[in-house]
Amino acid sequence: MNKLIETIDLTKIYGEKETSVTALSSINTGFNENQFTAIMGPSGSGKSTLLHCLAGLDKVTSGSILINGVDLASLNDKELTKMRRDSFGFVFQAFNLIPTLTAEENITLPSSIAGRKPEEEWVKQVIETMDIGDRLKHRPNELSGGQQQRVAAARAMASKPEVIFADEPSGNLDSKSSKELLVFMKSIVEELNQTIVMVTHDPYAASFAERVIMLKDGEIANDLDNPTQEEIVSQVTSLTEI
Amino acid sequence: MFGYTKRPLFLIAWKNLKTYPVRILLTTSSIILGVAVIIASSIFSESNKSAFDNLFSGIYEGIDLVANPVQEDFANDFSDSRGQGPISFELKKIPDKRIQEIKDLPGVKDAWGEVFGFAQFIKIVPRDCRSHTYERECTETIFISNGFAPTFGGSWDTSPYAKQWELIDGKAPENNKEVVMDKTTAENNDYSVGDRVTVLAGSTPASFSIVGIADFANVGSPGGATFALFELKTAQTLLDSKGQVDLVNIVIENNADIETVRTLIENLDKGGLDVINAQEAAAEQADGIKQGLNFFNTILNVFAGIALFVGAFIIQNTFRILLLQRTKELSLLRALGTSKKQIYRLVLSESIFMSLIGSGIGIGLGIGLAVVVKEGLKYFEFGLPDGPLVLTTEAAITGAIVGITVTILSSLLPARKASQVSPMEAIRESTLTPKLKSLIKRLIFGSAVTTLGFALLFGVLYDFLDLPSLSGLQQVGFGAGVIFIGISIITPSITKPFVFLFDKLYEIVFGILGKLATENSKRTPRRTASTASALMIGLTLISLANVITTSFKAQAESVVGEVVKADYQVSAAQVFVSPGIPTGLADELIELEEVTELSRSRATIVGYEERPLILGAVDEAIFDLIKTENVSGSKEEFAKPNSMGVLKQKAERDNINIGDEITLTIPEEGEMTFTIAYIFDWTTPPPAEFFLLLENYTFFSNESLDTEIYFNVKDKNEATQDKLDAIVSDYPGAKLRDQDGLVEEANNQIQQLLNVIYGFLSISVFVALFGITNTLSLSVYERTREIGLMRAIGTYRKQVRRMIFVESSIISIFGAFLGTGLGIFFAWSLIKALEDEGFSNFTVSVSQTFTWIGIAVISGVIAAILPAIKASRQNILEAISYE
Repeated sequence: MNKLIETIDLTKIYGEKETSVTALSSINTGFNENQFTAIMGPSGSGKSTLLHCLAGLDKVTSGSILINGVDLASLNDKELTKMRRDSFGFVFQAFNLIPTLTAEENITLPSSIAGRKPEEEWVKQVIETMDIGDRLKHRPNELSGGQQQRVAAARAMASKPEVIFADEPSGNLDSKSSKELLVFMKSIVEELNQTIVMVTHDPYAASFAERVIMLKDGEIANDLDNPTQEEIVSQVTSLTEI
Repeated sequence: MFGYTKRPLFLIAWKNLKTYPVRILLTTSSIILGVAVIIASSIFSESNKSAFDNLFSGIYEGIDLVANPVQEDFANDFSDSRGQGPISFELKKIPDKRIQEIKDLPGVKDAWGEVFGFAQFIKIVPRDCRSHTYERECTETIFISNGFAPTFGGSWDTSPYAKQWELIDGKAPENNKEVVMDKTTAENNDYSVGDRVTVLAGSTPASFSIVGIADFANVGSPGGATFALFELKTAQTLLDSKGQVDLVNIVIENNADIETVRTLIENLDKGGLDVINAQEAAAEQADGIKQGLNFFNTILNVFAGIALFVGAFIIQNTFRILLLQRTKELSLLRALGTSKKQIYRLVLSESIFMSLIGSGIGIGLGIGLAVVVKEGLKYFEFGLPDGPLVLTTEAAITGAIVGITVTILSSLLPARKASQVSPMEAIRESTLTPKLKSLIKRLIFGSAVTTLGFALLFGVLYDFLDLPSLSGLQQVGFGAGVIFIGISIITPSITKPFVFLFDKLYEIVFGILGKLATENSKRTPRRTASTASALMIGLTLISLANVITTSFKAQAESVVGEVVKADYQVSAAQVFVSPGIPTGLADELIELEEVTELSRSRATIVGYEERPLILGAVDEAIFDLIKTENVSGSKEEFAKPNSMGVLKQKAERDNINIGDEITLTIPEEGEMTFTIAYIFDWTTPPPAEFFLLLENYTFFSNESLDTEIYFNVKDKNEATQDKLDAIVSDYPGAKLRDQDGLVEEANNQIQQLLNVIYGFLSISVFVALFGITNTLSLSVYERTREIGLMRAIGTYRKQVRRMIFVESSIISIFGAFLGTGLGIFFAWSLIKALEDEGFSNFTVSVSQTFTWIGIAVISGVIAAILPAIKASRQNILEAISYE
């Protein structure tokens, strides 16, 4: 499998001198194309920071992130923005949708911003996969939390990004909606050949991923292939115990 | 030891203000401007008042009594229904010999006569000729004046007690070749002792040598007027006062009783002399002028009122939004046990802080504004007396009180709303959409008020309604005011439908960003509406002024084109300096081969039924050169000897008919009887009401001046124009204009007035722009997450900025269109109401209207620059992170 994203000695330090906090310390890893990766770890482990850095939302202190061989640090704000728009998709924990736009408009927002017509066939397929075909004309406040997150996921995919970054996408959902969303996400990777990097603290959510990276104190503590939920839980427990 | 404070809420209010200085500036910006305008207007009028006080006490300095001739009270008869003033009437004067008689009276230390009148300094400068075929040098006559201040001439007082003028250079005038110039004029026009200058007094200009420069009461010249001061005999000759003076100044002996001396002087010529106490007269005359200036002061205060009114809209809006932002903080305070009343007081104490700061800055800015206005008026040549700027304590206190009151009143409603925040808000995400029900209520109530206003207005305009105790114009104003209030109530309810009109267009032009912008404006209709309303007020007034003046201009143009058929008109350039044109000019013009037809009009004063009357005389050609309307009788009969023509209005008023005989007392001729042969309407301002044919009567040749000359030329070209210019330039008191020139002159006057009005109204628009900046900054703040999300999923900074600009343009277009529409409608109503006064032309200049809308929209976008930059620089991570 192709390495889509590679990190070399990725380090992120917040603050300066005495008050500085090392959020990420020399992370060397990669993310494969067409794979569902979960990043796990206890609070403060640096998992969100890693995602933000990978997605070009936050600047790294040292080291580099290569997206298809391009160093994110070499891009200016405009190029980074373009990268996020055209190559990345985003699903956040909450407030994913613009409240004044309908579901459909939210889904096509990235291509609208780019001034492009969305690929109709593809968008149709995404909407079908997400099962939100009957909610397209509704505004976010008329949708349930689960529906909102599925619309967000559809938006993330609509512009055929190279990678979708998901930050606790099921964090605000009840268990039923949460499961639905994760099933859909898994199917995106399997059926529509997408790549997902997801941050979560929930072992159940992580169990949908093909690979789980465990972070602790800004370092990779473990890297699991196709773990079961039990394996994840035991890993998490051991990490918290130490 | 823990920190303990007795007044925790006061502390919070203070900390808030200290932490967010920009917030204070934003909120108080409108207060600052409003207070500044009040202060500036007060400084301005106080300064003028004190300048006039100085002026008049200067005029009478060192003088105890002033003897004036008693004037006959007939001036009123000359103002007819068309509002034309007197053309000329004989002023009573005091004969020279009386001065000596006064001097000889016991108790009089000294007395000297003074002659006073209009005189004009003239500069003749060479200029390029229009055509190159003309052999003479072409010149241009420049009338020297200090702004709109008058141009005076007078006698130089030689008495050692005369203190009005102080020579600062040179010497006093001693013969008829010498003149003393006032300091202001000399400085403004670079004249100094030894220079030659031409002075026009009466009708013939003459060249003088400047022998001295004089200062008046340390201000250069009274009220900025130009002053040509001559030796007494010369002044008497030039200013039509041979052997007599306009007044006599009297200084009494130290031990003499002023009342006794006064009676003695009055007894010299019982009923002919009016002797006044100089110091009392100074105060009286200054008061008179000050009252005149009150009008100007009122206008300034109206503009300040408008600025504050607009300001109130904005303060209320800003407060509401600021408090909305702090919902969490306030609800936390509530959750911690703060009572509603305490929250209310917290918000009010903040507003008091802000009002104090705002008023303080406003007073400072007002002083600056007064300086700017003063310099501005100087630049635009509005002559007002010079003097130091005066800020009275009263004015400062008034400004501060008004500023504080407006701020506190505007914050009452938002404060009440804030106090009703539920303690649960701290935990919930708050939504901002206003309830539809309240919008509908507003719409119904507002529509009712608006309808009432329209009913009032149309009722008054179409004469089926008459409000007692209000004049027609006041009724129209009242109706317009009600409509305005109604519309202001409705605006939040019609924001959505209005923005809806733009939805599609904006989406096509700006894509999804346009859609987002329109949706945002609809999301908070009340905020959008009140921001737009502030702009609406300014635009209403601007477009009202604009349409009124455009209509007046069009009216002037059509009137000039309609009534003046002659190619050229010659009239007196400075009506006050010389009431007419030397007859020699008409004689020269008629000799020209280019001139085909010419009519002079002349006037003389005769007696009619024991009263003075202006009798006009014209050449027969006048009926071809200006439009007259035949009412009855005929021109042919009029041309016969002993026939007289009379104006329609006069005939109607005095019931004069064809065939009536009128007997007039003609100076040096005795009684003459004329038969009314022609009744006609003279469509330009007529020079008189009774007319004779000039060539039939010799007594008109005693008059040395024509009031007007109209003539046609063979071929109206540049060479002819040069030739005419050259001839007319020998008569500096005469002004030659063709039809375009007449129209232009009328238009220039209107335009000048309009520019001043625009200047003041711009202040209210400026205040409204602050409102837009406020609203948008806060709207951006509210949408931190939304904008952060948009940035995260790939919206360029540029695009975020564009979105804010588009949103701002919606607000400003909304305000501009509503305001312009209302202004045009109000202008129409006003003109309709003035129909009876002869105003019929209602013209809307499309280009000017759209220029103003354009200016408003562009200004709106400029006002959005700061919020837009702020929005685009927002930190994405902060925006999308959550606790």
